[in-house]
Amino acid sequence: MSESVSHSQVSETDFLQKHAPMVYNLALRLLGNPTDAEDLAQDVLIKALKALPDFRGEAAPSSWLYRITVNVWKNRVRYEKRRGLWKMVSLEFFTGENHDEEPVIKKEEPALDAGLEAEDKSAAVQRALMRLDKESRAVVVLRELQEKSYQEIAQILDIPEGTVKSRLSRARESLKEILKDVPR
Amino acid sequence: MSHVKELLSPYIDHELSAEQSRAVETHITNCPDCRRDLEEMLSVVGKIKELPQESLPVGFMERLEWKRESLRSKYNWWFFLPFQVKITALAMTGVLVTVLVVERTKERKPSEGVLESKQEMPAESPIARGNLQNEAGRRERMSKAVMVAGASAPTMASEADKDVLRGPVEFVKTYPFKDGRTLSQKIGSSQRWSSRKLKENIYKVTCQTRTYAYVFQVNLESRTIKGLNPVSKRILQ
Repeated sequence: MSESVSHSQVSETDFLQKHAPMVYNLALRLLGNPTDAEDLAQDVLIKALKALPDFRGEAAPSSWLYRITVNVWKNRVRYEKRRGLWKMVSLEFFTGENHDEEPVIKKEEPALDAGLEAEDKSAAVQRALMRLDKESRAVVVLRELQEKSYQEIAQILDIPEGTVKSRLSRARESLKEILKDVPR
Repeated sequence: MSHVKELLSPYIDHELSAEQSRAVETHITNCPDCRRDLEEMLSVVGKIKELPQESLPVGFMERLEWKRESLRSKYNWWFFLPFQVKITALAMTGVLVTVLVVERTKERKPSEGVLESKQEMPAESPIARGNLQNEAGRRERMSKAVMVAGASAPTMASEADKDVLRGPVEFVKTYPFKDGRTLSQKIGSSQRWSSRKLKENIYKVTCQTRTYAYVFQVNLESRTIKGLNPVSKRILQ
């Protein structure tokens, strides 16, 4: 069945039921926490529903949604960085000793396998993803979890295929180091 | 052939030409270093692919509908205003803001501002000084802050912690619908938080949930929070 849709053919409810889980999962892996992921996914879906009447179906709706998600996410990261609106840091890096100071990111980050037996392994992998820079994280998530080809990733992120290839290769090398003590 | 490290990643993804793939395969048969690199990379890919597909949080669709509805009611009236009215309103707002800024600038003398900030920023918090009277007052005030954030009153931590108050803090988002229904979503909770008085009725609060630390300012008089992301800002609304 063709993936193309028109607003008249597919109701908003069908559209949401089909695509909301995918958008939420993508947001979750990019942001690393469910609350922000829900917020981002909702913004993406509202934007997509608004634009749906003009969607011509030239690309698959999923690719179209990936693109919107990544763009909304990037804009949000930029906005928060510029405005310094909120400061949220992982507790792994929070000293928690001097509360008069802003939270500090420790240079020596703890090993990811610390206390792993009591912790969900997938949380360790998610934390490893969060250690990547945002461009590399997007490439890894789209490749490993959404199973997109290099060409599709290049289109979604609006970067050359060669950049996808090099970023993915570098990111995997970094993850290899970060995850070396996490068992499969 | 030299090592093929840079080709391993695209090799895993079948993004190499047939010729390149054959070259990689031939090489790794004879090179234990590259073979180990390949195995490690495959292991990393496997670990990431094992991340589970999460289902949507309970109430996701209802909250999405609420958000759409609130956005519609927020902007619709503006879109339907005639162009002339919009221009007039914008111009009047601009004039008003300019007048206010000018007036405020005139009123404030620079030396007063400096003195004021020095007086209102104590070097130590009341608790750190061990002033019991202030401590009680502070605890009362911070209880209000917690009430605002939707949780019960805190208790003092051990003497060693001094400036740290302990007590459960719950972050709850509420979504009021037009028809009177409300939805609540717990977005996090914390057993540990600390605060520092910045000005009268204004506290800087550092609050740790299971995964994150939030740093924000609470104004107990106006019952507002500054410095949180838009999601968490809704705590007070």
